[in-house]
Amino acid sequence: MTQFFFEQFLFYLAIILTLIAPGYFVLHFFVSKNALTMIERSILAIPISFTITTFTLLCAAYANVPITRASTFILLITVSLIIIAGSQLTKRKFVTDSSQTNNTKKLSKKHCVVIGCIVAIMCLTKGAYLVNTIFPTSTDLGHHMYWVQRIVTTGEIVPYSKVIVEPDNPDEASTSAAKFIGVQQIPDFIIGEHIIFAAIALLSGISVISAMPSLILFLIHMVSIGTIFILSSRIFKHLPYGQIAAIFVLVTIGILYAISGAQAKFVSGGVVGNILGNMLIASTLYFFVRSLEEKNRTFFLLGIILATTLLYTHHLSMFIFGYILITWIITFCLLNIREIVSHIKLWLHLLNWWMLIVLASIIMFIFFIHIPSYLDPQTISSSLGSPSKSTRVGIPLWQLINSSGMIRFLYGISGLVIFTVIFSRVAFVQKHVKNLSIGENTKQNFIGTYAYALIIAWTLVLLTMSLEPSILKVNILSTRIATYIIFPLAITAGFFLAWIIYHLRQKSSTLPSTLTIPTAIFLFSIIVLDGTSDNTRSLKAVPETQQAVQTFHNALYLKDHAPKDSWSLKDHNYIEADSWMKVFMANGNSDYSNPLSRGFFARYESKPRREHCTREMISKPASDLAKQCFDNLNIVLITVNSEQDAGQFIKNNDFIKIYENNELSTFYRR
Amino acid sequence: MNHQKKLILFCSLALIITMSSLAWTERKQSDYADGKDWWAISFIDPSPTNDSMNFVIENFADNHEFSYEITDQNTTSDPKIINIPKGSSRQISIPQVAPAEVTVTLGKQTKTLNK
Repeated sequence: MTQFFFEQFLFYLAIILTLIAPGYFVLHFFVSKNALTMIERSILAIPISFTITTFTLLCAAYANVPITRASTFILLITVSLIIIAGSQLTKRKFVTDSSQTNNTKKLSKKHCVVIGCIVAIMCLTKGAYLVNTIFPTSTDLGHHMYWVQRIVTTGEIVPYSKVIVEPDNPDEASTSAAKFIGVQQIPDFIIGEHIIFAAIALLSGISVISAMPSLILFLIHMVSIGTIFILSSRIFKHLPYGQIAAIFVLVTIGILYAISGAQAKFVSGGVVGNILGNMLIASTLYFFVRSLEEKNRTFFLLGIILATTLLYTHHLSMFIFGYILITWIITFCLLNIREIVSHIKLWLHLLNWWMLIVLASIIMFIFFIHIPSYLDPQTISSSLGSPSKSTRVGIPLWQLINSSGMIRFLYGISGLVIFTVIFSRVAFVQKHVKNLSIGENTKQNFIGTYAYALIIAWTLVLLTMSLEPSILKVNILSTRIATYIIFPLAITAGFFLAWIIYHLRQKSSTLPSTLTIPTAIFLFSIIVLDGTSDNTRSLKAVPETQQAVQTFHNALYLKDHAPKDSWSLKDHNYIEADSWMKVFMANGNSDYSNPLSRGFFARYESKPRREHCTREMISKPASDLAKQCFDNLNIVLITVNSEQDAGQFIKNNDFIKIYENNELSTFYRR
Repeated sequence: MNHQKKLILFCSLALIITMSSLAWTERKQSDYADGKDWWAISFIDPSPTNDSMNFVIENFADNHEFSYEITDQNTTSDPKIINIPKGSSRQISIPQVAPAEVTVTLGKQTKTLNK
């Protein structure tokens, strides 16, 4: 117990050093106190700290400074001191126009209590799901943690690559032996996904093969939700029901539908890039909106820096963000075509000389220091253009509604329509809004021009990318894109609820006053019921970790006893948490592909030109083809499920059994 | 202390409690013995070029009375009984050398190693 408390103490110290302190210092010393509320400062400190930690260690690695516990600690303390010293040297804070900053209504005690309750329920709901999924078994998380473990054990940033196995004759791959043909880059991994975990593992001493990665993802995920909340607060700040709308946004994104989709499921599933990307997209948009609405260069700079971090963190999120940004710009220009010249002057005002220096530095960093692994013409061109597979042509509307939460989707779309109409700057629409009296007390300038365009663009572009990606020349898995729409939908759904309830309470409401409260309760109840039933359906049974634990035990044995320079083979079909086996073996000489894996059986049929050795060596180890494969690939150790696959090795004199537990057996090829 | 500070403190506390609870849960789940019932055997030196048959029994099962026997050149040794508490392991040195087979039994479960 004492050891556990000590570990937790170090863990939270590591989080403070990597994910809180650097960003907090930046905001404290370079942004006026009036510009950010305490809550905004606390939330935004984390993506900024993430940025500082990631780039500090990346630069250190490229300067051949080994990434160890001591160097990480010293570097982060040094960076924090530099930030403090820098602020003293400049001797001024980047003050925003005070007439803008003081307009934010402070949260009342009642609001704070409600928000506190919402956060507590969020922790309970997501915690209830995670308690049965916190044990590290996820395949995706295992793949990511291999690279984290490489950094931890070697102290270096290694290129994302793996040895490739190809059949000698791809046209007859099922009967052809295979061999190693070289090393190939892996564009799926990006450095920003791994440095933060390595830093925390090094500083705290906690193993990568633990709950630590999922806990960090959980924290990042909660920060994403917090960022959506503060973004909504700023967007709706001038509305009489603005704070209520932001609280409703927090409810629809934080408590309701809190597990399925890109929420708690992605946390335990180890969808690292998505979780980090959601936080960075939300915080980047926050800073861009505020910089444009308030003509604030500091916020603009922070937005650019966070966008750069996104570039180094997750390719899909960066892709989505790019589309959001372009659509935002186009939407804004179309809606404000008459005043576009004045807005262009604002953009040029924000882009002053030192901003251009920063942009130039970023471009130089990208091309001369570390270029993200996915930024090559082939990867980019494969993501753009007409959808090339059936899974990329868009998803049916019903599927999008289900994945977003039915009532949330309905409220979100309704909210978007109402938002678009009543805050429209088009004279024709304004006139009709006034005539209908639905815009009473709702002036167009209650919503900033940039925020107005953002909400419309953000929602519409993701709807289009999910339903009809061919219109936008998007060639990416549609179900993955659809997970991003929950954030703008939550904002518009929260707005919808607040707007409806506010107008029901107005004297001019068409409903009799006796029906006002029941109607409000009804509208709120159905989304709560739908959202909580979605949570209930998503909960998992108590896990059976015994199988995974035995896999880890076996992996430790392999790590200690695998002959040098040899390769191992294992099965993906019947071994629990098998992708974590390579994490145990990660060191300076290991390869991502080792142990080789017999993949899902269907994949050998769907990709007939891929190597079939891995299947043959486990399914028929006595065959001539398997023997040739064993020789070509230097396979020495083979781990299989005892019940499913041990039989064919036990009968074979070419193999000896060297390890057995209740689930697995390991064989050594003579 | 104003309301926002209290809110931040409360939210931080909620997050810490949640994360620590999850960490504690995972710690118990990852314990080889806690709530588990399995065991493993393995060669100390698995290389086929080394003819030593010495092996290890690691016990994470509720039962603790193991028996093992060695079969070499068609001769099977008398079963030996060994008591290994849950959460412990025992290295077994045996005089026989490869080629041979080790058979370990715990209750109704049997596992084998061979060289």
